[in-house]
Amino acid sequence: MRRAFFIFAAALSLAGTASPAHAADARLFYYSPQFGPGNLSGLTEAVEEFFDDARVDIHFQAFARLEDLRREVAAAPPAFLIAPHWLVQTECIDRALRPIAQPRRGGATSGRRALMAGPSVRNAEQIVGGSVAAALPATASDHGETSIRKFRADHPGVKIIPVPKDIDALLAVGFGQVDAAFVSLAQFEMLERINPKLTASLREIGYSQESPFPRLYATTRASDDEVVAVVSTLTGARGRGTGRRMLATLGYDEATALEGAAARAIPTPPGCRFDGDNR
Amino acid sequence: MRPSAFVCVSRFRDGLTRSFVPVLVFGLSLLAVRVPAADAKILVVKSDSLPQYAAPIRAFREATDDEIEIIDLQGSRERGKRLLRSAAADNKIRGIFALGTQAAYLSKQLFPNIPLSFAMVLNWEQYDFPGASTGVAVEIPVDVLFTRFRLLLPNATRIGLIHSQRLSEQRLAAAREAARTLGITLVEENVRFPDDVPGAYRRIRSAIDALWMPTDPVVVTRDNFRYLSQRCARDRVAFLAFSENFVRAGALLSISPDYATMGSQAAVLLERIISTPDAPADVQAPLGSSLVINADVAKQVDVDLDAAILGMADVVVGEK
Repeated sequence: MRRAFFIFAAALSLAGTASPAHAADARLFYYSPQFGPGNLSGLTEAVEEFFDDARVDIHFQAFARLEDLRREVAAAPPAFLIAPHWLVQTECIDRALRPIAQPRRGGATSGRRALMAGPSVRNAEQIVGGSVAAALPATASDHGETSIRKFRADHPGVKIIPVPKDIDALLAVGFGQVDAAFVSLAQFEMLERINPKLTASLREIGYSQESPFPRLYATTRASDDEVVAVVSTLTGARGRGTGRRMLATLGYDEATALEGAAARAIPTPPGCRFDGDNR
Repeated sequence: MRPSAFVCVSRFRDGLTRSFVPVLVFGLSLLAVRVPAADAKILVVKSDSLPQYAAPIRAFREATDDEIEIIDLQGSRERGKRLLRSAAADNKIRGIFALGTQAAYLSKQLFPNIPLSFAMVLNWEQYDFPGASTGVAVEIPVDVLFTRFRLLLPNATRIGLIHSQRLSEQRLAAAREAARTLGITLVEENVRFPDDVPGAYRRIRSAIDALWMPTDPVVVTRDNFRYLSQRCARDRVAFLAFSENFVRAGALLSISPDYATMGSQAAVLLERIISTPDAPADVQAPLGSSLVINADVAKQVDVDLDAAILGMADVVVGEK
């Protein structure tokens, strides 16, 4: 109780007081292939407006391309990062990445994606020689979600056609242009509502993956005070108009703090090397 | 070739025939032999230096394991003939990826037996691409378009369509069928001349939630676009166009093909007809799309740009 009060008091002292909470050079990077690249400027505006309103001094930068994120991280790792789970498991971001907050949508903290196939395909083995559509980053064919990487390894003869968005992949398999597609079940349900005839012919054939929504991570560059400030501000976002707008832009209802085992640092991917002291 | 070979064979005595025929058959077989993959290359032929070709070429290159050689016709048929013949001189071409009508047509004319995959060919149905030919069409099928419209604007159940005889019967029939499947009421007005468009709009404006503008040269004029975009904004009718330029000029949104995906798709299609000669050589609709939304117009017509819509947008113009 006392600890919670202390954190709360620290948070109050850093946010919502007369002077802005100085997170000095604290930068927050954002990357999510699921977010339409055309509106990153709108997202940036919404996030900056929110943090200004909450009087938390933080610099937000959103990336459309993975290679741009890599370049900036290599130049100087940020204090905070919002990114998909698969990215922090595979990319060399920092010595230690600690998940500190997660978004929620309709009470859920993750979304499911699966391999959906047309009526003539009953299992993944039948796709030999065929093609599969998937929303992937523009480059780096060996990246992407675990399920896609596993599928590539299991079925090297199948061509994966990268498409810009989940909906492209879903419509491609729905209209029979590809044999199967990796899609999010949320998108599938959206399509099912407006075109049930199209979705009735599709079936899930495995490679299902429950993926947490992109979480907020703290790197070794983030001080304890900064972590407290950012987490408390984000978890209180729903109480502000600017916060609700920011959450709505991202597609979420709220953000909650991660604690205990859920907040344990992510192991650094093998082969990563970092120069000297990162702070 | 075959008739003269038989004449030659018939003129020889048995001894000569026994040695000549195997040589002849062997020689003929060389013409049909497939180039070993290790030595092969793919020709990427572009009609000219349009910047739009860069993305599909890049995606094609990433999607293929073959060495590629790029040939730019620069709009010249004679230059194209010269470069293509030179590139083919070593007989190492496995296939051709052609961008643009001139590139596709010339490639097929010069090399009718080399598998061809094309992209960015307007009205590809008008051209004869015999033999092993496949490709990616430029137009997004109407059923796909209307499905996307419904996803983006679930409350827009009445879509207006002003068209002339220049809109193909096929596309019109597809629109009617798609509307029926999706529970959309398609409100049509047929016009003969460009000046008929404003009157057509006025007749339907109170009966529609959205107006779809396909590529119809009678309807799509500068004056008509200006009129329709202004009236739709005033009447809070969602104006659905087919290219980003129209969205920047005042339409609510456009859905057009994604060029990069065309390259990946063309690579898969080409490989399919090379490796499986019996595979159907069909032309596919583009898999990837580019959704452009005008945030200013969205505000005017009361369309809420929530995360679901923004998540599908590639470009958002205007200020929210």
